[in-house]
Amino acid sequence: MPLVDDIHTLRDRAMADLNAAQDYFGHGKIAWFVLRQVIAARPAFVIRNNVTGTATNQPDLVDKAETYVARELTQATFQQFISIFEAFFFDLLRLWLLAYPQHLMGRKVDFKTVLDAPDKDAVTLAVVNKELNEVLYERPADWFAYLNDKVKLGCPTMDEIERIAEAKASRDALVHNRGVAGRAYLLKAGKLARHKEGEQIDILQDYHRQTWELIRKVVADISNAAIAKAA
Amino acid sequence: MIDAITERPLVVKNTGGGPVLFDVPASQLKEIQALLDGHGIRYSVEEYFIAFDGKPETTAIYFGHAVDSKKIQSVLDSAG
Repeated sequence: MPLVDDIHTLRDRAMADLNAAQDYFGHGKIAWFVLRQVIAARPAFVIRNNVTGTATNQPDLVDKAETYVARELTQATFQQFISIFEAFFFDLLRLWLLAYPQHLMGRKVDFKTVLDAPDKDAVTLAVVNKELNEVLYERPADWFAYLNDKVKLGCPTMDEIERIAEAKASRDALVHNRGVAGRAYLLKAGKLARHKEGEQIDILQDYHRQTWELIRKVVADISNAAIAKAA
Repeated sequence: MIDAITERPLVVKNTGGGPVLFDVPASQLKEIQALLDGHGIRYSVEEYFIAFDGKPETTAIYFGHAVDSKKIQSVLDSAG
């Protein structure tokens, strides 16, 4: 069963990537905690970055270490969690639609796409990719509605979908709005919005951990349900 | 509040990620949490505890931008 095997591989890869991101977060924090202590006990030093011109002395590096722990590492790995989930979700949809292309029976194809394609599989892949590219720009609630329309998995729960939508909205605000909760955040986060308009988006440790656990659960649930359907 | 390891007051630091209480002795964590809970201050405790050079374990408490560092410091100072 190639589809079942492919979903197994996809699930295991997403889980491994999530674990690696969580380990990187933990190890990164420990490294900065240790360095912070070591720096305080060292003779005075100045480090100059020949590329940016930035000069950093002991107190600067201690301050930066604290911000790296409290913000940079947390935000970077949080964004990684969301990216891993998005890649997993759309790779799964791609696998499913390539296995069952009749779901896209009504789609129209440019004649150029047909002429440029070496075979029928290439045409199918082009149609699937175009379809998924359009779904990607929808809200997460619509992603799951689309998934359920193509294959009724019975998961995730509505509460999980709303939590993922809020996490995605937080990620979007970090990436596209300098970490400030704007109207787009409020709209996307819905009733689970954690911030008011204009507030800085916080990714605290407990929220970071809960999001990681949520994504792991949803990846496992969706994969296992899809495997059961495909088998 | 006095740090049981250094015997100096606990001091809240402002970081780019909001206020943080670093180097919190693990032995005082519950007491600090009770104090913060009593004042309705939201926080998140670091998952790692580190012991340097055989000294007692320490950790960190993160507050996020929504909490004013002066308020946190005042609550800690009020505990003596």
